[in-house]
Amino acid sequence: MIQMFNVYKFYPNNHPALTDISLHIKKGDFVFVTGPSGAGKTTLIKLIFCAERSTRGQIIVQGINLAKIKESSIAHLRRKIGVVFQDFKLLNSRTVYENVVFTLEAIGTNRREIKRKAWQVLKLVGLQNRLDATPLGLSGGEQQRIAIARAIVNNPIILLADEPTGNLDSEITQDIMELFKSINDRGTTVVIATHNKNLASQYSNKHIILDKGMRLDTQEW
Amino acid sequence: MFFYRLFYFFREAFQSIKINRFTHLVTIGTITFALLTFGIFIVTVINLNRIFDDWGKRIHLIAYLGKNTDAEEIKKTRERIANLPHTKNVTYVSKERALALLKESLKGQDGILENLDENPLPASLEIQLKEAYKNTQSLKTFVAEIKRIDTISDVEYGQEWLEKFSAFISIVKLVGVSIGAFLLLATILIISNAIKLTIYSRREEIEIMKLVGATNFFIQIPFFLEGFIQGLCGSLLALGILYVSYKILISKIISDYSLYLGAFNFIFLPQKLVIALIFFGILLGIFGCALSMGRFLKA
Repeated sequence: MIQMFNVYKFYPNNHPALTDISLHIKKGDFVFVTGPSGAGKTTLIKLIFCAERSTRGQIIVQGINLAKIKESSIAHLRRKIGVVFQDFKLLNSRTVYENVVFTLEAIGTNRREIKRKAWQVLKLVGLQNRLDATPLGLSGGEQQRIAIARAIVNNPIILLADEPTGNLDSEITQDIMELFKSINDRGTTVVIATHNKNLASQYSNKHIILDKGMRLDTQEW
Repeated sequence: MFFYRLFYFFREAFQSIKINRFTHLVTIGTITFALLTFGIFIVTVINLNRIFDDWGKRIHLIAYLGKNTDAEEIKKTRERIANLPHTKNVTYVSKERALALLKESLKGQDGILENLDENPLPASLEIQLKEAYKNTQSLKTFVAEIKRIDTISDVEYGQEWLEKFSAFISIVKLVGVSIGAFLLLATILIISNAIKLTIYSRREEIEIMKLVGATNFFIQIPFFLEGFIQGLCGSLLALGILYVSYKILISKIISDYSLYLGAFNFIFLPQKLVIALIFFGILLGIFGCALSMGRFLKA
């Protein structure tokens, strides 16, 4: 599903964000990318959905070589990948329903499909009764649920999450992790970046441990 | 599917215009101002050209004959001119007839002509042109041809005045083109900045759209529609203002200068130019949008 071969990423100031990373995440995996701040977790996630390009090495996602992908094909790749962020990245002027529908409209889904898919996914994340609320009127946990609903409404094959529980208290963190687990149970490959090792250990034994841009573990699953 | 997408694009464009209405009003105002200026120059030049041609049509030429031209030569010259394709008819005015006409025009003051030893006026041929050749270009070639005839000493057709008027029209055109080019540049920059502001105010939406896999084409369409709507509104407004101003001004000019202008008919922009101006406004809107969109999506 996701493979990296000797991937390097340098930012313009020549700061090495990732050094010689190789990994293989299989279909249906539930994987954590862990490590302290500045370890390169976010960069690794960004490389997978082409928000950043690797400086060297090969990245294969669902059979597509990201080193060779054309700018115009990136949009189509992203339709297969859902992304969730620590700061949710919601449109605060739009309602819960509109935030989710926005994704489907943006990729040109037809009207009937939009209604059906949006309702289904909002029910899955437990927001079916908050359709008309705006994000700022909701709790952090609920906002993250909107973001998750938006990320999975198009049935992506991969769900990436960058510190999805970083702004949430421990109880809500558990709820969100359960939600990720249930999404994974439906067959979606889930990759979560977190600095919280305990959380990672609680939910999966598949970890990619990073420090200063290098992979510390040598696990193969 | 197609109609829903279309609906989506228009909804997004109008929503954006609603949110950023001040920016859009400024842009529409700028397009209006630029196109109005263009329109004023075009209407002015068209009507000046028509006045020029109209006066040209009223012109007849006087070809003065050399002092020692005898009757036979006069007859030959007259025939030669009459046979030219431009000529409608040629009338011979003898020296005596010319003096009589002068006396008539100086009625009451004709005493000043009494002490003349001899008639100083030359004999001449008065030439009227066919309708099809009553324009400045044909006039020039015709005059050049007549001047080549040996028996003709000079040709008079109000050339000095015509040339001055022609130069005046050229200056108006030049000023129009210069101001027009400057305004064009300014308008494109203003539109481009207005769209940039709109893009900035919607950057989060665009970021999320890109994140979820919207193509650049899909992201751009509502912005291009905004440019289109701005251009259309600006050009229609400019044409409206131009038409009303034209009507008011023309009624005033006609009442004040009817003596000089006679039955001259002023015209507004021809239909083709009206359509061209609307297209031009729309193009301005879209081009201004493309300028900022390109930069933004690359970033």
